[in-house]
Amino acid sequence: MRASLTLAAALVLLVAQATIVLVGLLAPNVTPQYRAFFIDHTTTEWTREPSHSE
Amino acid sequence: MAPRTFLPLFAAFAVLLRLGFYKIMAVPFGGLATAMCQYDCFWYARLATDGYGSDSLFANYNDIPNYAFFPLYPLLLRAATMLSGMSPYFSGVLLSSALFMGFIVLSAAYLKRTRTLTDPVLWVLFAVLFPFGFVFSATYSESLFAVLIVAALALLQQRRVLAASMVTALLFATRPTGIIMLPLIVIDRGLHLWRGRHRTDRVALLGETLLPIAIAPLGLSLYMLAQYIGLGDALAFNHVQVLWERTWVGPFAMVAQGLGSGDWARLLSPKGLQSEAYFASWALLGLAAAGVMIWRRRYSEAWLCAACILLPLSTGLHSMPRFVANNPFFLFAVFDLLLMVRNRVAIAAIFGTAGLMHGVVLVFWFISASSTY
Repeated sequence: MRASLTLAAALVLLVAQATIVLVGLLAPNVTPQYRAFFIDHTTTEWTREPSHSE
Repeated sequence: MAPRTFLPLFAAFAVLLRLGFYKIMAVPFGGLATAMCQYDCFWYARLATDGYGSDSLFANYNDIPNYAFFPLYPLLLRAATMLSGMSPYFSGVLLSSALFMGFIVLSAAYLKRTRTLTDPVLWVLFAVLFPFGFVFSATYSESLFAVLIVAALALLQQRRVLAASMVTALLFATRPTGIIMLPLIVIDRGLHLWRGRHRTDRVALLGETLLPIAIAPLGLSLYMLAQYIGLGDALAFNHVQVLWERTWVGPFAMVAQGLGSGDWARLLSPKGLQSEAYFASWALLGLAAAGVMIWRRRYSEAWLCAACILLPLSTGLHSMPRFVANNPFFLFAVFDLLLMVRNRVAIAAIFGTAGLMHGVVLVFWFISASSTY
């Protein structure tokens, strides 16, 4: 029973973390400006966006 | 006094004495907390006070650059600030110094077990006097990283794998280089799986193998999740490095570029030790220390020493003296060489020179508005 729980916990943790990594790599939820500047490096221009608190 | 009590007390005394020395040295530079706080210190202090998601002071990028700084040290700094009731700058010095004491004591036990260290006092003096080691008392994550990585390796070597993986999870939440501990855990668990291949309780064997591997990266995974929720980019910690002009070049190309620059004259710049060639030389020194570890068949330490240098080196040379000189395994390698010196007068001369250099570099740190590192 304990061995099964240990294995189940390990598998849940691994799958959850793999999901975070995959979603992070494949589906960033960012503005076009953020993508061009920080991820694709297709621009070096940056204009201030409204902050989360504004 | 029992040796178990003596060493922590002596380490505490030595670190406090060093802080007292810093306090005197810092008088012309605005006091200890002000003089010690340079560069990343301000980021950590702002994170400890306002958290992620608050505007930073980095041009017009809102809070985006905050995500370059991993959360465990700012969290501890926030707790230390609340407990002490003092400014985050002063609390940071106290927090880092306490962690540095922990590192010294833990390392003394580790060195005693792995090297038959006969005189731990020598190690304490070495760690306290080593030039550049003042960063261990600054509001930086160096001391936290050092204590965690030595703890993780020691636990792994003592076959306490689950505890090692939990400490590694904290390491992952401290700096991006926390990832370098993962291969050691994976190799250890792979060997465990191989040795147990004839066992009949396959489920137990698989659980013992996979659980530590699943726990170790939790610190980074949770931070990635927080970044995705806060910013929409789980890899923001990596992407924002472009603001510090850190993009992938490769470690060896970076060393060649640094040495090729031949800008040694910039060492005499009024802003401090700004030479690219100087930074590249530090990287080579660190890699040479990893070579010493390989020569002495300390493969895990060699890996941790080299990887701590190669990862940041692949994207830039800046801060290389800090990355090398505050790398615990670099310190162990240099200490190994020091232990080969049998003449007590020579050791005293080495320690005297180290202390002198420590003071000189500390003054560079205090006067630097944008350089030294």
